[in-house]
Amino acid sequence: MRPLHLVWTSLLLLFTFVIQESVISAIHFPIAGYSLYLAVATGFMTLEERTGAIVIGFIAGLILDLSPSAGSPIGQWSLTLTLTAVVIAYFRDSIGSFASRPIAFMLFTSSAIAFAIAFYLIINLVLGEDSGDPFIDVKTLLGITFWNLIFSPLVLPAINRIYTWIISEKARV
Amino acid sequence: MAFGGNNRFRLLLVILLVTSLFLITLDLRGVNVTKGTRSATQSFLAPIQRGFSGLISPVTNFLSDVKNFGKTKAELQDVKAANAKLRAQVVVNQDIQGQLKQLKSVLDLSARGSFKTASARVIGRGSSSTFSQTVTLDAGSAKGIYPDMTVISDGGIVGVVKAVTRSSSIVLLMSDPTFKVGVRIAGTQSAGVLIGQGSSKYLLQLLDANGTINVGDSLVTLGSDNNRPFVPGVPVGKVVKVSTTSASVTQEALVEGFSNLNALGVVSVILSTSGKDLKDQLLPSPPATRSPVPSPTPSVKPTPGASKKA
Repeated sequence: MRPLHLVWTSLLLLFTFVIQESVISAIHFPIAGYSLYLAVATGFMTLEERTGAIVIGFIAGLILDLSPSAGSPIGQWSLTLTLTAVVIAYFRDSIGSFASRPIAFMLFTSSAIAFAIAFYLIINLVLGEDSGDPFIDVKTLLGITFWNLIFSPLVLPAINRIYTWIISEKARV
Repeated sequence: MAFGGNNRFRLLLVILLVTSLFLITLDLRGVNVTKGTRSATQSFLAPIQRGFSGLISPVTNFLSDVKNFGKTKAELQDVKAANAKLRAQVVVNQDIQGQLKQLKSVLDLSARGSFKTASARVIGRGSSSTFSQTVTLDAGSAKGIYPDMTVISDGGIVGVVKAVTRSSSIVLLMSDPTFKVGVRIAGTQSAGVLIGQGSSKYLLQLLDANGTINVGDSLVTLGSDNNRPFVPGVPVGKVVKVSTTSASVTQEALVEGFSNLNALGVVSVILSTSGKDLKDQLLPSPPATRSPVPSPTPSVKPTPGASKKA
């Protein structure tokens, strides 16, 4: 993973984070809500090779840790998304490239988001943080996964194109 | 290829995991650097949220309307009537008018409770992916707002201030599953705990083993030491369903809040109180029942020239 590649990806994640916190969060979705940020982060982790995936996972988590509305300690999302990236890398190595399989890409990223949230809740339990009612947590998990499945056909092709641009030589200019 | 990777991958993974754990440890130990970063992000995001708040409010209002489509016919008729009334009133911006109305109601509530308040506009909502239900206000420590202050709207309590910067603050909404507030039933004075459920309904757990809850009971806040985080006597909600399970020691009930957390435009943060006991004064008065009005029927026919005599 080239340093410039990492810089572009981090900037894109930061931009998505601002959009998530300013625009997406203001929209009241029924059943939890949509996380564009997690969709972009897991999308990039899926497209990357495994070393790149864990670095992106860590950076994405670190940015999410900065969210002023986050009730978790700083570092929890970094840990969550780094471990999610490991799992993504493990399965990606088995499945292969997603370049020509959009439906597989969509299902894989949605599962990765569900896994990330479940992992976050488990870490919450381990750290002794209050997660509230487990039923509501499950509803949030299912809600975010559902909305991700709905919006994936719009978001994932864009992620794929941006990723292709970032790894191309044009991004060097 | 077997998963496991080369040494570089493993080393990097270990470094990242250790860094994450190190950050968690620092934060849990209360190191100021970690707290400062979130505060800085909030300062950075607040103006952007403020800018987008006006731009996307038509979209969010529309989605909110779609979400609440399954209401009863009577409610819909009320909404239609209110909508028609509003249409007639629209001369200036509807959004500003709505906010002024909320501000008037919340100031009215503050005045009745003799609260010293700071009013603020809601400029953003917490991300769903962060698992906490919060709103961002466009006022902060410059207006005297500090963490653990009670936040009210026109209906009653909304939540409690969680974090503050100079120009913005974050409020933990009462719908958040981690939110708990001590309440008492207005009539019987029985105390209980109200817990957020992630929606507009809340769970009331009565502390008094012999106490009873009835549908329609109104709840007010019990209050905290030095009024932080909760000021006593602030309206909370109304009991809509009582759970009667023989297994539980105390009674539980489902409560509907007086404040509509999905339509927060302007709220007030209670800075200080007069110190007097409010009892149940701030509870909304029950709707007036119509009594039949007797219609007088003239029994004497007016005769021409009678008015001249009088």
